[in-house]
Amino acid sequence: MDQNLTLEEKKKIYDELFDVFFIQLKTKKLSVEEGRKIAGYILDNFEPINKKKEFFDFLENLCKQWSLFNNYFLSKKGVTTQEQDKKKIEEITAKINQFIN
Amino acid sequence: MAESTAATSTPEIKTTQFTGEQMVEFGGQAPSEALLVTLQGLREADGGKKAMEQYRLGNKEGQKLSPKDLGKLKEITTDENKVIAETLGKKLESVSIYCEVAARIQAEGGQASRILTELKVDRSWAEIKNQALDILADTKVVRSIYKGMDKNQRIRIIEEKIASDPRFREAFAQGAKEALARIDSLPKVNEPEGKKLKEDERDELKDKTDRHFESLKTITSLEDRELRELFDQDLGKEAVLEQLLQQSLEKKGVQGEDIPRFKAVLEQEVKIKTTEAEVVQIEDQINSLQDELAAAKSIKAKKGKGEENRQEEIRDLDKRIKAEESKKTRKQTELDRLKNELASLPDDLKVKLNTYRDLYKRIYGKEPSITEEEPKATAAVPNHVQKLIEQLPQLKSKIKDIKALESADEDYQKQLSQRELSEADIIKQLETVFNDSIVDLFDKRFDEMTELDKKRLVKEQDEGLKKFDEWLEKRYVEFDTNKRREIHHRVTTGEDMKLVAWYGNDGVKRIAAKHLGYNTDPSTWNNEQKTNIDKIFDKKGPDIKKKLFTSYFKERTFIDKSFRLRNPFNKEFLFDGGVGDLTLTDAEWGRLGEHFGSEIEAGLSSSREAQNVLNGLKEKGINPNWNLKWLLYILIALGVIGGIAFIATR
Repeated sequence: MDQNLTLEEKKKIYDELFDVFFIQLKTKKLSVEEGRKIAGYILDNFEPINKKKEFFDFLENLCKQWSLFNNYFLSKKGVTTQEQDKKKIEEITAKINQFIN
Repeated sequence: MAESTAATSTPEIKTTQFTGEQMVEFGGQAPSEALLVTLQGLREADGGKKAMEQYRLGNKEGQKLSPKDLGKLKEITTDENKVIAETLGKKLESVSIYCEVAARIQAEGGQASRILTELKVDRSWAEIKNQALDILADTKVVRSIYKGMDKNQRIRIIEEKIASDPRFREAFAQGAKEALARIDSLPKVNEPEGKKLKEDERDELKDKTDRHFESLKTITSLEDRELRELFDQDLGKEAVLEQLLQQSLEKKGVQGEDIPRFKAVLEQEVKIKTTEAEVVQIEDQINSLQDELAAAKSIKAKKGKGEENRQEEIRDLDKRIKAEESKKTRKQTELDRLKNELASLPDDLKVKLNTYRDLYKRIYGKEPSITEEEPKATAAVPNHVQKLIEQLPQLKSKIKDIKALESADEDYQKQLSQRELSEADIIKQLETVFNDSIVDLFDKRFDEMTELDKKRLVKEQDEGLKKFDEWLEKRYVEFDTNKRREIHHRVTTGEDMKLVAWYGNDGVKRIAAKHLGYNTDPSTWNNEQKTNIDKIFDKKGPDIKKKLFTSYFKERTFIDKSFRLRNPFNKEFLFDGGVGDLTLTDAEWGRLGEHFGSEIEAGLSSSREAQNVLNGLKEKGINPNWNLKWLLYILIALGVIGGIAFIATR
């Protein structure tokens, strides 16, 4: 079931995570030191991750420490569910087609 | 890997997002505009990962002053502050560049000149380095902490231990940026439009008229004020010349009533000249007649009618010559009388007449004359007068225009004065940056040392000792993590320092007694109390000393901080007690030395730098006092100079 994260996907996640805390920095809702801690945590913990499931575990732990990632976590989770649903629908459609034909 | 999955659990929400107000309340350091721009740039160029990596490494841009930051000093425009700001700008630039280059040499190696070229700095490394080190070595805190060290030793400490520390660079750059940022919000002062041009024109005209007045002063002997009053009367050129002569004469004691007498003399002089001319004319006539007579006589005698005519001519010539000679005698008599009259004039009148002639000639360019009704002046004076008559009304008009412009903007001077005050305040704030950044560095090191101690500390199993650790932690410098507030208990620190100074290790026991709620007089302790105190002393004695000594140092260091800058490490400071509460007398310092001398000596012997300082002092014939040794010992503990202190603490 585990799917590997591609390099492009990892890059995209880094960009998205950065954007989330950068907005907080920009609106002065985050101090410089706290921001630095977050950057350190992401770099140390996300870099070794290669699988999507591990990514969600990482994201969940990140949210436990910094709630500012909650929305990002929920949106990612939503996208993944949608992707899984779409894939299942495609599989069922394929099987139905196979059965019909 | 965690068992839970993203799909099955909802993370617990922990509040870490602060509002702007909360940030201020907690003393959190909000990101600077420079940092945000840098991060944004990195994100766009290299993506989020690279931006995060750079951010984690530290805000390098935040550790130096950019040309843009320093360029703000050019906005300091009021006369008094401008020159100071230029000098200060050079100093700030030197320290910033020196720190950056020194750090890069340490990290990457290489030549300073190459790095300077890369940074597009056109000043020499020697100039930058010397100025930067000179400034830092002369800060109040460095002079006070490294008392006893000469300047070269202080400079070496700064080179090796302070300038290369990124925390110092950050504190320095942030402090300076914070003060420089205030320049952006300085109130704008709008000078009334066209005022500058009119002022320039006024200055030019004023220079010209001043020069004319100066010349007239020399020529007429009148004072500046007198001349200006004369020109204020708006008279014509001839009238001004007449007044110049009259006032100059009066100044030299020649009164108006003397003038008719001068005129009479002048008339007499004219008469003399006329008579002299007449005498000369008669003499010429006589000579001519005598020539004719001689010619008539030289002709040979003729016969008849011709001879009669010749004789008649000779007689006629004789007669005419006699008549002319008689005329000459009368004229000569008249001339002598006139000359005698002139020669017999009173001396004072002669002096005054000379003055009159002299001034007249200087003002009009020629001798006074009675023949001309309106004298035609030829000298330089009329030129000055003419120019002044033309230029003074123009000058008055300009001054009037400028006043009108000034009153058109009544707030101008007020705004200017307000701006001057604000600029001076920013300059004062910038001047504190050098000193306060070093204080902040020491503060940071103290905090890190405290943090390290906490980690090293073996978690006490004994409930009593655990409570003691908690009590000691907050006794001298108390830090509230949540509020990021630091309280310096100066009264308590001063009292405990005195106890330890007077009683040595017994003083340390008395501190333990305080914790236990006992009387601090050992004669009152019963056996159980003694056991409890000894237990703390045996286990925690060195910790008490270390905490007390380093806290005392930190609190003393903060006396030199101006607190004009926001603390770069996000802390708010409160002080319980005054500076005097931390004062130890010479006798108390002496006692401290007696009690802990050998312990301190052992600590100092581990430091090459401390030994160098001590040897240097001894070579100069100075016996290092106990205060200095104690200070060196604390500096080793804080890592400000090399060595190992408190080696026997556990």
